[in-house]
Amino acid sequence: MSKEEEFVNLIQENQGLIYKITLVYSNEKEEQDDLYQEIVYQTWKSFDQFKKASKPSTWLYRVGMNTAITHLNKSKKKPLLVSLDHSFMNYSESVDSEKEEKIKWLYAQIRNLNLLDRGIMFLFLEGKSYEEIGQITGISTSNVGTRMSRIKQKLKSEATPKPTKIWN
Amino acid sequence: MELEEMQSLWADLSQKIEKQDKIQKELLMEITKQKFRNKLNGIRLPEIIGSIICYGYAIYFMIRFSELELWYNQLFALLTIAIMIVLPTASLASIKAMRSVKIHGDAPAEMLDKFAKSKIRFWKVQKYGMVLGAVLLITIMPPINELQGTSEMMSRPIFWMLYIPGGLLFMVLFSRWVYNRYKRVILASENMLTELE
Repeated sequence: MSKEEEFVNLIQENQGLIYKITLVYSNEKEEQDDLYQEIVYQTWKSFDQFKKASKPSTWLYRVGMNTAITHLNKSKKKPLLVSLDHSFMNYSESVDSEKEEKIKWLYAQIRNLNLLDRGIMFLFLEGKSYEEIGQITGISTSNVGTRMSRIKQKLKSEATPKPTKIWN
Repeated sequence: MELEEMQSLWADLSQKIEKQDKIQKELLMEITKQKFRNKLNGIRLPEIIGSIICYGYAIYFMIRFSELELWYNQLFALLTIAIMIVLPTASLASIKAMRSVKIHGDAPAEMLDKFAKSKIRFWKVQKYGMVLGAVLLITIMPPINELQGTSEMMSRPIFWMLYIPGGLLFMVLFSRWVYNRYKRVILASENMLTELE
């Protein structure tokens, strides 16, 4: 299998993961699309490192989260390089209305957290253990625990889901 | 909403996302190629051109240093050479440090820390650059006029009447702009570091 084919397979297998990272780190559709493209580019750029990585999933989470953090810090409004009219990029339209408000509320709550806590909450929702979260984010397991209890408290203090917008 | 409910909502969402069509190979490769071209265009040309001009002046003063006869012009020339070398070198080094944050190797917590610190360093260099720029405004004129045989111009009051206020006005406006940016960037970066504690 050629490098290009391996890369395409990796992105196709993990496109949902990349998409979820963009949702957690941005609330504007255009910015999410741009971030998606940046993560794809960064993954291609370091694809040789990925092949050597002992834990490929950890590597991909890190690249995605690091790209989101740096990209959003630098980001200024720029025109999109490639138009993404792909169906999963319009996911919100296919969600049934009953759960839509709750999902929007959930995203809004996550985006209210600071950059690192957003990543921790995202990994927690992805079903990662505290140990795995620590390995991916580079903090100790006990620190993950402390941060998670702080996040729980913050989320509990919020009232029931209020209407919010996923993107404009 | 309890965390368990959030997790189940998330799992449901993930499941639905996974069912979506796979992104096409052609589109993926097009994204990658376009991004690559864009990055090549994004090399910081102004900084590079500015540095070449500074180094060029430093070399010019070094080559013609022996032609300076007045002791204070020799001193000014030395100061100018030092600033013209130190300033662009520090600026390029801080930009390089900021751009070399490793997206692919570091953990997010580590990267956030490095990113915030390199941003603070970059703007500190810009702040010192501003002060040195003001010094340069004064030190560069006397030796350059002696070398070009235009010292006479400097003895005319009209020259200083235009040069000093004009130069100062430029420095004040430029400094205010840098200072405002500096304050915002430092604050944002420091907040980022506090979040990690």
